[in-house]
Amino acid sequence: MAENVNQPLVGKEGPPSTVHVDKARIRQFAKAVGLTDPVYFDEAAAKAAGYPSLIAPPTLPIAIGQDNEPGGGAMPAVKYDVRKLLHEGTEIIYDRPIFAGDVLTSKGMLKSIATREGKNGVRTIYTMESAFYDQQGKRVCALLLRISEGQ
Amino acid sequence: MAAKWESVNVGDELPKYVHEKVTRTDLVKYAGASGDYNPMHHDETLAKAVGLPSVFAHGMFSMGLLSNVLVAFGGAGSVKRFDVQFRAITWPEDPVTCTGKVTAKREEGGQKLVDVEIQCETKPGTKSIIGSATLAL
Repeated sequence: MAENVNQPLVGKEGPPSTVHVDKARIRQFAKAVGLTDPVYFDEAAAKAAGYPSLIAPPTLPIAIGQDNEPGGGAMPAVKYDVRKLLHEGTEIIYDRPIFAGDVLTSKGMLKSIATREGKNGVRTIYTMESAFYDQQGKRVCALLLRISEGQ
Repeated sequence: MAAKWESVNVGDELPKYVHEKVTRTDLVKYAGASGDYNPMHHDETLAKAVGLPSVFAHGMFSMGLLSNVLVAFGGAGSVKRFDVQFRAITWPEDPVTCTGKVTAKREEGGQKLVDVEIQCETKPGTKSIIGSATLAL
């Protein structure tokens, strides 16, 4: 098999990018995934729960990671055919919750490229790793995304 | 009310979350909220042109639905780890039933943790997501 065109990107961190987590995005995202707890919508409710502001839904980091694509930003510009992509899996690891007002720096890389024999032929598995850091330079969360591309 | 670590037992079920029916509007809302504009999730013409019966749901939309189970059990700030595998495609009109169960409880680094296994089911017997999570209570 020909070498994957993205092979040279493996292990190289993309340029860091900055994400401002704002209340409007948290509300919009929470609504889109069916969350109804007022801590995602109402500042007073969030503070009453002991949070500094609205708290981010658990899967928001993947969405704010998307803000940088395509071409540069946190993820290296991996070339693939979106018509043949399947999302295989995701892992999120939190060091602390994310809140509205956080200014996060994300760094990402294409961690590995592998192939897997599936029932409809060989699929290429891309594993992307990224991490978000707060303004004190402390890691807030890390993400692993596994995406596959069919032939 | 979030669960109290002391009163959690292995085998306890997490509160079930049911999304009655996935609509194309759900997918457009998720695309906008997430910034994931892969056309396979909103452009029916293009999806059919590549041989699919219709658009299909973002895996991350289902993972987002599944997050309801975790935060209903442990509270909005409880999630320490959330790991899923996407096993089957979710199509418009599918229901999504999200469930979970406690598999372990432990203390680590001063934190009271609960490990859970979680899943989304679309049609009966079809698991669209299987996964696990760790919650700090």
